[in-house]
Amino acid sequence: MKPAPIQRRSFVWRVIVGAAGLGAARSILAASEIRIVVHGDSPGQRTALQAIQRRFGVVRVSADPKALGSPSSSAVYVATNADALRAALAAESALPLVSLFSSSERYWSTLQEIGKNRWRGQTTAIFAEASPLHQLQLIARIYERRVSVGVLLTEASAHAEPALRQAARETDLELQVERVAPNTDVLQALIRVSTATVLLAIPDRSLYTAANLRDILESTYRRGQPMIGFSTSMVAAGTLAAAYSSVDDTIAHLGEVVDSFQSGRMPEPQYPKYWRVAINESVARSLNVVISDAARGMGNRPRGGLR
Amino acid sequence: MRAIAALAAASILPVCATAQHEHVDSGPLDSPYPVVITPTRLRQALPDVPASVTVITSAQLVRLGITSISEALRLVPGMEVTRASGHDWRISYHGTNILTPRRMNVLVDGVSMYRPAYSRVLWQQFPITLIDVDRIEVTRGSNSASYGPNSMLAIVNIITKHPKDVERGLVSVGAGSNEVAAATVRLRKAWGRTALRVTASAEHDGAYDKLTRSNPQGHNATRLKRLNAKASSELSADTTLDLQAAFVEGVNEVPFTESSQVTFPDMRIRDYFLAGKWTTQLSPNHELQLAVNQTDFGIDWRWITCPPTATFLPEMYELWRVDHSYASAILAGKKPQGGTPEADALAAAAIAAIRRLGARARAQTCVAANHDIYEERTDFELQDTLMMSDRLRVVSGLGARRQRVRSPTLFAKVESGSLYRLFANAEVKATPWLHLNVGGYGEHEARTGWTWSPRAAINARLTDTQSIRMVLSKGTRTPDLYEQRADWKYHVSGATPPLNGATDLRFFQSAQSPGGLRPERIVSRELGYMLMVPRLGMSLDAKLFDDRLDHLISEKLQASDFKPTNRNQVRLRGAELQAAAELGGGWNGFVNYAFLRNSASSPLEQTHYSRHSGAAGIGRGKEGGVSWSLAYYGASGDGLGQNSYGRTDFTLAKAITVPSARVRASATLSRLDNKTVTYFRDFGSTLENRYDSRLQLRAQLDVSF
Repeated sequence: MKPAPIQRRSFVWRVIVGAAGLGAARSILAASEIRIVVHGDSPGQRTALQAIQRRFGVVRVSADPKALGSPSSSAVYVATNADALRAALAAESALPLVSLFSSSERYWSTLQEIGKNRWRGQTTAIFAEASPLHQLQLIARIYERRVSVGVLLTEASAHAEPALRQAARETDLELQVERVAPNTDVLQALIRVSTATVLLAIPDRSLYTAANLRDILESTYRRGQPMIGFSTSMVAAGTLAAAYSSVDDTIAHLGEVVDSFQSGRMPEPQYPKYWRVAINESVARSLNVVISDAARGMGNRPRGGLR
Repeated sequence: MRAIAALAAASILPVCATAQHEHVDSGPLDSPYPVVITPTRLRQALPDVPASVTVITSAQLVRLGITSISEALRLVPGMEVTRASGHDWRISYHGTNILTPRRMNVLVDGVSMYRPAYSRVLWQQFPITLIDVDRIEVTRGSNSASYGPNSMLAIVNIITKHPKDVERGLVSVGAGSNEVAAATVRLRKAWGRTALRVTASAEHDGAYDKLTRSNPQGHNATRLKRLNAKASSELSADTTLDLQAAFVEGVNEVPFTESSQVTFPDMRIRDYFLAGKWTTQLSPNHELQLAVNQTDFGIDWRWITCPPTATFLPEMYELWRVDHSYASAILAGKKPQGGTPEADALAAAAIAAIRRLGARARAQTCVAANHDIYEERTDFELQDTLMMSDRLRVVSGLGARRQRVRSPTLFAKVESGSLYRLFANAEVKATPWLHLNVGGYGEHEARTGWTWSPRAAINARLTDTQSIRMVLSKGTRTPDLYEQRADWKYHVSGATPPLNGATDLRFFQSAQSPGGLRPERIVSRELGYMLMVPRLGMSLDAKLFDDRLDHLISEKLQASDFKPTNRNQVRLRGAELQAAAELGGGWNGFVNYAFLRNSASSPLEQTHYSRHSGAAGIGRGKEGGVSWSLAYYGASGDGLGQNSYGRTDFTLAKAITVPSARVRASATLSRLDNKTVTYFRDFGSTLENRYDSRLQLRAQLDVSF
């Protein structure tokens, strides 16, 4: 079936890759049809699509889910960002939908906003941010002792608290959670966790905007309080470190999720299985935080020769 | 003005390290956050600092129940701290001369508290309250290369809290033994990209119960009020403007210093403080900063005294100027001998004048005397921080200072002077493990000409957790206006009864500085070692040092004897250790120790000296729970006239969070080893101050919202 005509703000690609050239492709993938729902056209999204094509071979791509073909029992929809997820949910399909590269906060709020019932199929997600457990494992490895970790949460990110507390117990860290009410000055909330050894950022659009992050980083840095971010761009901005999942890590995990569909099992929305660590060496040095090679090398890499 | 160059210096490593994927445009996770902690904003890592540094944080001050900056400095290895009376703290790194400690600079947010006339720092009168202090960074060792003359032995950099980093409001009240009481209110307000904090405080401290044998009343309390406002405004993404204004007024009680005084020579102080700093990032690797400040220190220092009438005779004044011993002998009723013909003639005239007075000569005449002093300083500095490459960072700048002093007693006229300065420091990353720091500070002052304070240092990282440093530096202290230009005369008024019909008189004693003094100098050598043990949250710093000071102006300068010279020298050698640990589970501990050998050409440079000194403490705190700390501070007190000091503090605190507020209550119980503090006043004269009890108790309640 031909894809729908190109819309002004959407595009349709047809990507053909010689599947024989991908010796690493798994046989199960040949049985699944991956349909990619995109939104916008950015270098980052193109990188993701290239990674998907390397992993899965032939894929259909469109900003309009309905343009990706008629329903098929072997098809799986993949939304490549939060806006694509919103568009996909609005399309009211009965097929499985996997959200990629959206934070947990964004995923849950989008589902709530759009109404999960509009998507008659099952949805799941591989969240963009690393799990609280992996973040706290990183902190535990950096500090090598029991330290206090401050976390700011709003209503939108409150869903992460149980996982955080469980992870704190497993890593023997002390958690200081500060609930931030709407329209509260985030710097005032930061003062209430100022005694924590390190601050952990959980993705939350109301807390970590570009403007807020500047104030937060400057304030914590003045205090000599390192901050653990949730993305490499935060690390570049000035957080001490982050556990994160690369594009290839996420795509490798996607393959396993798709395998589950074939087994008749729909995995729950989950944090990335594969992850690695980014360090801002300059910030670490200036805050007198010793980063061991063990901490730098933490993570879980996918097998199969993927980056 | 810059923060401590060492700690404000940028690292020259690349900002971003091991990112391993391209960004995905997926909303908040890979939103293009701007780089906030740019290379020019990075603080220099402690292992890379070309000096030994002690950092005292606000958390430590709270944890240990410390209530003044002076007391906080007992946490610094090698720092000599003696409280001579309520307001009069004699504090100097490695001690030396207790009479007027003046070889250590103190900055509050980059503005020098070093007064232009007397080269002194009035520790009790800083324009900030302790609650506003974010941290105190003490660079132990000559830092003239970064901060110029007067940072000869060390520099204390007090950094206050940014307006954005404080609560909306804070009320604090405290009280304790020895009539200690304090109240502070702080409010914070933000408008757009501007934040303002305003702090008002009042404090009373009764200090010692008894002072010296001649003054059992213990008249040495301080009563101060402060108002401080600090604002920070982001004019653009790259430019900030910080402004600070402060006012301090109060009374420092001063005990009788002469037997003829009938009212206490208390000081009434009024200090004004205005500072502005404009900082702009020309690029992530290039920052420019312009700092301007104006400080006005004023002391009304007045008393009534009733000496013998003969001391106001003009003939005695003229005789004193020629021959002190002749004048003293005549007043003692003795016949002066052995002087010059001029002295003999003046003595005869003085004796004749005394005879004309008859019995009145020995009777009292009461007058109003004063030692008022008003000091002003205006300072300007432009600083440029440039990351020339990932291996080379340069901080350079220039500045000027204008200072004026007015004192009817100490100076014949308004004395003023201008100083001009240039400075540059380069940090070179020769290899990933080897840092070199080279730089210097040049200053020109009219009477002493140019002084140059260079420094060269090597910092080498032996491993990720161990480093060594070798530092060679030279520093100076420029003689102050009092040492160089004093023209000391006591003009008194309100004579009762009048003398020969006059009520405005002149006391017979006077003094004039010979001038021509050269800067004091220091050559400092240091070998240091630093270790960090992440598993224990521990950092340890040790150093060996050998400092040679010469051209020292050691003499006690007073109206009866004002003969400053550059005659003396001191060699200070020793070792220092400081270690702190944050063990986890809320446990923390610290220890510091200093061993010092002082070899001096004059015993005056051994009047503030402890061969062994240190502090140690342990504590535990849990957010929302009870916290406690136990600390000991001690010094062997081996200086001339000095006794040993020891104090144990136990602090207990409890913090609770209620809706919209946090309440913290704390109490500190102190036990002194000695109820008495003694220190050198003059040869054959030691001053002694006492507390009635070894035990002192203080309590404080803070409510923040």
